[in-house]
Amino acid sequence: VTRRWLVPGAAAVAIGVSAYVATLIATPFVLMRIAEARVGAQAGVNHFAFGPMTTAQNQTIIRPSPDLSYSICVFQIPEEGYVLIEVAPVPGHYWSVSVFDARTDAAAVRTDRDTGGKAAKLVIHRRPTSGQAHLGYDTAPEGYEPVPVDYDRGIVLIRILLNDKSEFAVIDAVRRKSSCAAAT
Amino acid sequence: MIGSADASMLLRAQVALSGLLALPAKEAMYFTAKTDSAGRSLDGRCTYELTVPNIPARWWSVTAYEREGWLIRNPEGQYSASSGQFTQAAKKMIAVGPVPPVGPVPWTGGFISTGGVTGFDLTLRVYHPAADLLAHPETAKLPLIERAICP
Repeated sequence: VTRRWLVPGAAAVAIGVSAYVATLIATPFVLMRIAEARVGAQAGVNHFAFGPMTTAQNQTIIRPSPDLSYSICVFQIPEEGYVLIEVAPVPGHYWSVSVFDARTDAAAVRTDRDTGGKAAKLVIHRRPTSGQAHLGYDTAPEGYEPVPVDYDRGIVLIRILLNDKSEFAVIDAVRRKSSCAAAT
Repeated sequence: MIGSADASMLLRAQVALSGLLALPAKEAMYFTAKTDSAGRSLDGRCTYELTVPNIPARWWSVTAYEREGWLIRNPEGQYSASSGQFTQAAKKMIAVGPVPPVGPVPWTGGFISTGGVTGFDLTLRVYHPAADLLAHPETAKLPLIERAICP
């Protein structure tokens, strides 16, 4: 009786069969560009935009969760450098940081479970080509976990679960200690 | 799985369309219902009783969306219900409908507004699912959606 819920994979096939291959390839890039443009308008590149809790009035990306606080950084890896991400931990709450490349693939996801409640520290860099000695993050400070990506642009997203919406002011103050910055 | 580099282009396009920036399955699983448990399309003018079983995960939530996946405007600002509202032992019943339930009601907590729109869907998010659920999503025990009142 409860089998009315669509398991994600089945839904993908049902919708996918009627679409053109070219459209399928292009769709993630186009949507990511739109998302980047919407978010980038708030904070520019390589800065976190600390958004309010999502409501029907302020939603910009489809299927947002009204229970999570979202902080978004559109990153652009500089020509000879990398992007450093540091996420301030929020004790007693589920939180995660995800790095998505321009094709919408998740290049990395780290949660409070992964870090043992400590800050997440990531260095996003271009994936080195074969035989390339320079890894792209050689000069990054110690303690940052490398996240190689295939595209120069993408989005970093911090999700923090609120047990109650009244917690927002406290959570907001903590998350503003997080940073997204280009470095060379 | 969803959101990972090995996702097929079909799946990638679908995720990009229906849930851009979704998490990989080991972090969060997403299930969507467009019909009630009797197979009828969900209608926001009706009221439903949602009974959520014990889901083996760190946290879950159910959210109502309209059209392509937009939160539905409603005066109460009630877009979702989550596991945080219930004790582990409680029977988890949630009212889903155009107006909050009044008077003696069977629901033990939670109200999700449909805003009275004609069509909507429900997305169940399951964060940090247990290993069994992650490996076999097709066997997941999912919420029962029973139509209670329909004008």
